[in-house]
Amino acid sequence: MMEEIGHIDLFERYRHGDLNDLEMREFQARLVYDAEFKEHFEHYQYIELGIATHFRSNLKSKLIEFDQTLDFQKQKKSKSRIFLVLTSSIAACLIVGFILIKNVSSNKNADLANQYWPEEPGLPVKMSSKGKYDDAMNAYKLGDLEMASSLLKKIPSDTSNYFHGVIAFEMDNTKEARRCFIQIEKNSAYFQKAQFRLGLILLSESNVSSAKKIFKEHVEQNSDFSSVSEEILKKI
Amino acid sequence: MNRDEFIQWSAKNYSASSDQAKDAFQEAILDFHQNVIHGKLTELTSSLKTYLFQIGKHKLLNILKKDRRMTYNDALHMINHGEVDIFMEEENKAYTQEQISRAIEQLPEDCQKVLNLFYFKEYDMETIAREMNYKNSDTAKSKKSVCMKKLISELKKISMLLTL
Repeated sequence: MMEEIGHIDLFERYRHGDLNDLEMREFQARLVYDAEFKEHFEHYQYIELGIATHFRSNLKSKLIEFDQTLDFQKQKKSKSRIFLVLTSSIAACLIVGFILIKNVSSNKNADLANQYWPEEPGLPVKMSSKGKYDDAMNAYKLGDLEMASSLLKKIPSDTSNYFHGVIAFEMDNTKEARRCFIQIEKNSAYFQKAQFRLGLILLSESNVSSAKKIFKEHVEQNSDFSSVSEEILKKI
Repeated sequence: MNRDEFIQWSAKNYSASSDQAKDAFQEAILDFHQNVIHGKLTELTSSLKTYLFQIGKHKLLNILKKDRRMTYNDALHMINHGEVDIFMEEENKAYTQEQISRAIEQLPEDCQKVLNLFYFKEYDMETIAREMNYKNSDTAKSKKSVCMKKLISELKKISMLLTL
């Protein structure tokens, strides 16, 4: 079976068309009468076919690899797309949820602060003599909050700050109200009232921990607002 | 992308699996490649997509035909009739395709390249000589002849190892 090595030069010359006419006729004749020679030549041809098949398979393997890379990239892309959609959805849900919870709880806190916000009757206005807060108090009592506010601004005092804070809160300017109540000195007659209102403002702003701290101080100091502070503390 | 379209088209028209369609498309690309390098295809009369789909369709039909004939042999090992034919043919041959592939891989790099250029790329000897930086086509011919002898010698070694 291995004798084809002996014929290889002849087969190679035949393959490349290098046989002369006589050699060619002899070759073809031998294929007819010499069964062994014919078999060797067929093996040689089979090997030639095998070589072509081998290199075609090699190229196909590269194509398969490339196909797999394509599939992997597609899979990766769709996986990362799913992951992106999923994480975005989760993030969106979390954000919406957080906003909803925050809104619900801040609405709840604001409602509670409004519920316990004490009505401020304002300072008494004497008919006989005119005090420095009279114009502001008249405006306040008549519901002209802007006028009352601008008049109070001109008077630097704890009283002015207190009423200014009350008006600011009623005008939904909690930041200004907070600023006014914080300025009131500890020894002022308005300190306790201002602190209680400051607690409510902080509560309305959902700064629950700071609000709690103020209400607890009222309870501990047994102030005029201790019972109501206790009530609020139970609700927050 | 043509490949994905072909996979979809094969599934829709021939209920072919993704693997069958991929196989057919790879074969179509190989044929296209072969036809171009052998100079059998110098100009496309249709679009590349149509050309690949046409070859791919025939390849797919052959694959489907072959796979439909899939059955079980007595030992309950799944084989297909096409493989049986090949096996029967190979029985009468001195070597199997696997042995030929193994023998080629044992050859020196330059021999592998010469055989590739001649049998797969079907280059003539002058082109091979240019490609391989040989003196002339006669040098390329004798190199190829040496490589064939080496290959047969490797095959001999492999088949001897198997009979031992």
